[in-house]
Amino acid sequence: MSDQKRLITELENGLLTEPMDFGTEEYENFKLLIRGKVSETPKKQRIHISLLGLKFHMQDYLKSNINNKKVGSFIKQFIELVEIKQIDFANYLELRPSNLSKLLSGERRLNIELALILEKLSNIDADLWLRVQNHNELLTAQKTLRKKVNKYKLAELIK
Amino acid sequence: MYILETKTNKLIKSQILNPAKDLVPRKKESWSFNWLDVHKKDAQSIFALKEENKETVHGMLHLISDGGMLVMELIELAPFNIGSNKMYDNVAGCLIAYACRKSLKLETAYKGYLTFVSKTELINLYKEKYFATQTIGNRMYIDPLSGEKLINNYLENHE
Repeated sequence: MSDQKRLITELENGLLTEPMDFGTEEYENFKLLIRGKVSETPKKQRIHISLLGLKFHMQDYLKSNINNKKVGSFIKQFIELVEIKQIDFANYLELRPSNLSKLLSGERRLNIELALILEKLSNIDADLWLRVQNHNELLTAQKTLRKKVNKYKLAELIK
Repeated sequence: MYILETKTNKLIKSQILNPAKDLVPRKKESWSFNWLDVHKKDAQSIFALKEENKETVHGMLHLISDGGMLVMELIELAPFNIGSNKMYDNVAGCLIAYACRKSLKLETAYKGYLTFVSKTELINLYKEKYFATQTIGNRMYIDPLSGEKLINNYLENHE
């Protein structure tokens, strides 16, 4: 039996942690140490970590039943997290700044090509970028098209 | 995410959620911690790992955000998941990975760091299996890149 397995076997109960000693001097030093670790993180790694966070926010947004965040606002967050200006992002992608602006505001749809570029740059799947857009459009359509859609019935179609 | 049924080596689809009161494990069911008490005080801070479409809780997690730092205040495995005859494996891994994912969503000076106090006898287990680092007594942390590995291992790879 490995040491790890023996340890779990020997546990008297299922508790795997002790309570944190909030407020003590040692605890405050511990917090300071963690803050120091974060501030020492190199830029490339910091951006990688931020983009992971963005991916999780997008995944969780898809599980929600709300559509208050356009895919453009996630793209805007991406641009902020990689610490570049919108104009530089537009130039790099050979987009007109006005078209980027429309994309960010939701006036223009995200297309598959741009979703693939975002995947390459952010390591967030193109599918996830596109699903955020579809999620919003579907939730909106479920409200606006309900009457129109409800008139269709399978029984009527196959009679 | 999946946990592993030890007898059959079968993966069991599971989920982590904020439990409703009825789902919160009770001390009379041989759990060590009074989870109901925390549920009463702050229901949003506790999480249950349960099988999908079943009410069986396999493990519990209590997270506290202290000044922007995420603390894994308590993690407990179900009584049937400890000891040499434990029925399911990977429960702790899934709960810890879930907590790491939460820490990566933070927008604070502690982004990506999960902190906790280990039981003395589990320090090596946390280091080896969950890539945690020990510092200042039994306090430990899992850094963002280690957290990413745990998320990939326990939450994402089997989706």
